[in-house]
Amino acid sequence: MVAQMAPQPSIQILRSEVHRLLGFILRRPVGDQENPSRATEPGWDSLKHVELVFLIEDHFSMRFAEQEIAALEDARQIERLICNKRIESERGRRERGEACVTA
Amino acid sequence: MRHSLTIDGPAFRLRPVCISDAVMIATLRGHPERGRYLHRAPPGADSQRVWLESYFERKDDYYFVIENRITGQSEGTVGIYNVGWSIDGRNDRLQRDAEWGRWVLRRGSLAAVESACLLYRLGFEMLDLDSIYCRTIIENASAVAFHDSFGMERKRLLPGYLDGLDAIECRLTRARWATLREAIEEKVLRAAVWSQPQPERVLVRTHR
Repeated sequence: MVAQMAPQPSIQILRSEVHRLLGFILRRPVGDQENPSRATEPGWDSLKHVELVFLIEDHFSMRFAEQEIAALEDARQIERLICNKRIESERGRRERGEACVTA
Repeated sequence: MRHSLTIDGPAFRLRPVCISDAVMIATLRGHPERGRYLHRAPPGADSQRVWLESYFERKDDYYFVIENRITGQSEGTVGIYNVGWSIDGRNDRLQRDAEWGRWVLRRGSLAAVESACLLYRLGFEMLDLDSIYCRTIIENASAVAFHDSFGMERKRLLPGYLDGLDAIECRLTRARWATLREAIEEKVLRAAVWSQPQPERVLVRTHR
């Protein structure tokens, strides 16, 4: 039996932040082991989705594009998008010859 | 009916449906997921054209295409119909009201919130309605949740409304819209940025 690897600390922090924001929108606590999705959460409607993306953009100081927002179907996809955005942002800085700042 | 009502928001527009939209509408309504809770109609563009011809002759029925203002892409449809008079139960006064529906958006569209706002603006400002109601199949949980989140008031249950499925009737009055409008339009304005074409990413390479 292969033991499941524990997420890296930074991922855990990111997850708990995403779950906190999601819990605010869904008006219920979201546990660390949960992966709430638009399909399983009736309260995650189109208006709540917009409000959630505003919260995430503001909290993580990033901006998303239409295709990215439309593709967000669950909490894990949100985490992945934030990670990818951070990587893309750091790569951009490196390419511009700027110093990297890691959160 | 053939009408000329058009209304623009920050990112999207409602414009009159025309016969050339038949293929798009048939595709949208024929989608197993997007059209799941709609009234059944014969599938295909030809049937849609026949339906549209009869719609053009019907009074007090306004059918719209929701389109992206910049790209012109059709995002979906929405309609306002059954315009008439009813008695407001709270004060026994006559009110001019209408039903809205035929609301279908392509998968991935971000036009939901703005198109609903435009529909209400059109109903209250251009058609001078006192209230607007919609009937949603309860099983369509995300749509029911949307109307709740938006601030519509649940009014009554309609047992067996569509193919044996129960529906809920929600209503928004002109007065309630006036209290909701500012906050919701702020969100619409901010979200409009997402639907604008993204500039191509330019990679600037630094050689050392």
